[in-house]
Amino acid sequence: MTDFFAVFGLQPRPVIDVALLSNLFASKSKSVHPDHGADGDFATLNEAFQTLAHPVTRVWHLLALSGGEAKPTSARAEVNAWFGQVANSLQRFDQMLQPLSQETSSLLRAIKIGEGQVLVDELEKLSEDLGAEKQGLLEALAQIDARWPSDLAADRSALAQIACDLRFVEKWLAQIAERRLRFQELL
Amino acid sequence: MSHIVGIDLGTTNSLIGIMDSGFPILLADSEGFRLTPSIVHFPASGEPLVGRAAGRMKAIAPERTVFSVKRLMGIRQGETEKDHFPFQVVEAQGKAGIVIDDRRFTPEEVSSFILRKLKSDAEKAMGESITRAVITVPAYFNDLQRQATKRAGEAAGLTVERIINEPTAAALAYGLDRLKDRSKIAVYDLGGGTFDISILELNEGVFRVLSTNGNTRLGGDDIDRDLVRLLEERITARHPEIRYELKDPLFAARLRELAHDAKLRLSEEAAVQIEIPFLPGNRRFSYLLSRQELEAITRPIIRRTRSHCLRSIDDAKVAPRDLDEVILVGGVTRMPIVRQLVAEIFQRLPNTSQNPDEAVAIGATIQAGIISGEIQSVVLLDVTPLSLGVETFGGLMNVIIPRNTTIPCRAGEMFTNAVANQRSMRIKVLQGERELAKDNWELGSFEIEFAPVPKGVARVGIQFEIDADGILHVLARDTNTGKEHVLDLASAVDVSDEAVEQMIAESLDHAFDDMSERIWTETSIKSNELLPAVKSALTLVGDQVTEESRQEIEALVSAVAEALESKNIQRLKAANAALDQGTQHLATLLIDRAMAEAEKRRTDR
Repeated sequence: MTDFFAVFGLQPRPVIDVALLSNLFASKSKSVHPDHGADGDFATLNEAFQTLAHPVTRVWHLLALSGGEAKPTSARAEVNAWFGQVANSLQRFDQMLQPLSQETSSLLRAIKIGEGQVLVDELEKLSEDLGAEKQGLLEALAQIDARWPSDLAADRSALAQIACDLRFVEKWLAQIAERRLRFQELL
Repeated sequence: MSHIVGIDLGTTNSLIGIMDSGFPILLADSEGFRLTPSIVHFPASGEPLVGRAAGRMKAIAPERTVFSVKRLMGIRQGETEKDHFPFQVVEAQGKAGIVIDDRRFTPEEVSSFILRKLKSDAEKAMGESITRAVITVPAYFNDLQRQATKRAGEAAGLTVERIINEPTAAALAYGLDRLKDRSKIAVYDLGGGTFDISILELNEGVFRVLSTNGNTRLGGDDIDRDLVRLLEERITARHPEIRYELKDPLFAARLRELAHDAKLRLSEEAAVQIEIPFLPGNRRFSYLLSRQELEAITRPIIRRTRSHCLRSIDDAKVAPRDLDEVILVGGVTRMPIVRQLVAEIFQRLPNTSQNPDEAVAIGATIQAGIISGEIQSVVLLDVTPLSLGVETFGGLMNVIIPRNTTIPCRAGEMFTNAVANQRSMRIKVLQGERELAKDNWELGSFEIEFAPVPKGVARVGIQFEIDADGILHVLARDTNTGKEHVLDLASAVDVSDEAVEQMIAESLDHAFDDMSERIWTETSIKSNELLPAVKSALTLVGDQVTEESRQEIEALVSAVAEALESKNIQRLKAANAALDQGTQHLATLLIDRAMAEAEKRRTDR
């Protein structure tokens, strides 16, 4: 399989400088983009960039390069604990949003917006907490990166678990962000 | 190898350009005009007329003069705005068609006539044959709309070397003499029929799109339509007796032209005198239209661009203050109210250095130069605007390539059989952002066949590739046999699904046998929602209104209560409307209060 780190001349490790990666992507594009090099492999460069730019996909790729690692079936209990709250808040928000978007009376709309704002704030608080959770996961990643390269089985399974947890947290953050935008659109 | 031209195929105007000694220049037609109106006139016999000549026929023979055909390119069943055009638009097999006399044209064919004229003008100007072109599309065009544009080019005898997004093209035009720079810019492109917002990073000659969003059914044409409506109201107010004659197609076409011209002039002048000496029944009509009136109807239309801008900013993960410039593109951005809105959204004055009519064509020409090798130091990294995925169990959309992924790109997904001994599976490919499969655009579907195996054993890899034009190609690979084949997305829409949904909606509507009973129920439900709402509003913000105001509201409330007793539908409807109208200021106060509380909650945390 292609070593995406090697495509950019980077050492394979859990944490990389994404700004540097962006610049490398930009400058390498000049030579392999279909508009410039008929035999350039832009798709691979692009795939490498997309993979390395995000911690979750980067970690999976890193593990795959060195023999693979089983994907955990679920997030850690502490992360899973968020799921109930998130699902509940999102559902109540969606139930509020539909009638609000169809309301034509100014007064009723204003009242619904007031109610909606409370739910949005709830989601914002959740978003902050999830943000802190995400920070924690990224820090754990940095700690493993500090002692990289490592062959320890414990480190490898820890990476796999972090990636799994991070994927859920990021998905929830995205779902909340989407709701925030939809509410803003109605104002 | 022949020159490659750059073409802006716009809703209202089209342009063509070519590289000349390293510079992009726009070519003029035989009369010296660089802008060619995107209008095609079909006389009873003979060749179609394109451009200004066709434009002159708009108000003379509206039923055979086609304009804004871009709004019909690549659209699906149910999306056709049949009523908005004076020429006949039909739907057949899920596609739009234009009917003139007994001839039927696809939107691609009509567009190809415009492209043919541009090609011919360019050949006359350059004295050489032109066979290759770069053509622009709105960034938010979906796969079908892009394919339609490509077909239009091919029908005009052009090899379409690239389909390029309009805001990106405009960014190229802006950035061509700033290649040493590093900056982040937004391009706000509001044209005759479409709106796009793109955010790009310029990095030493690499133009990288970070995000793009938009609306392919929002533009200057909508403003024209509402302005026409306003003028019709003014005319009817003064001459109620000719109300129905205003709908005469010839008069309507002339009124449309008048409205469009007035709109253009009001960008420079504060008021314009509208003269209609040709009112039906030999009447005259004279009216002073102010910029304020125009802005009142424009405001709700352009405000719709705000949410797209917010989404694009969010997707790009930049804050407005991180942007160095906001570039305006498209004729409509000349309106002062549009510039104000853009300044408000992006918290900076927009950059108006680019010619809003020509920037896109210049950019297309630059891209032509990049492909032909005349421009070496520039690379354009565009993105796909809409997420791509497949339908999964439960009718959900499973995203395979998320929106704003740099193109060209590819992603693969493994599919397996859900049932033992299943011989084939149907994969439905979707484009869009909604969670439910049915709410997204279906690009097509295909069947994959495989040998019968136990559940979960079949391994078919599907590779989705989006090329540099933003068009999807799908490759399937049976990993057990190693066989590969390119898949043809069946592009026909399943007509019966649509029809079935329509039927279900209608039958619910007719569930109430007594129509008036249903209306009474709906109206009284509204009253019973409004009354407690007003009471609650007065409790929360009543101290912020005058005593006089309070009493007025109480009177309106009583009127609703009495109307409920009376069981008179008209009376109740009127009372509801009056109460609603009379409490709008309460509504505003409530929203302010909700925002203030939210702020307090935030600071208390």
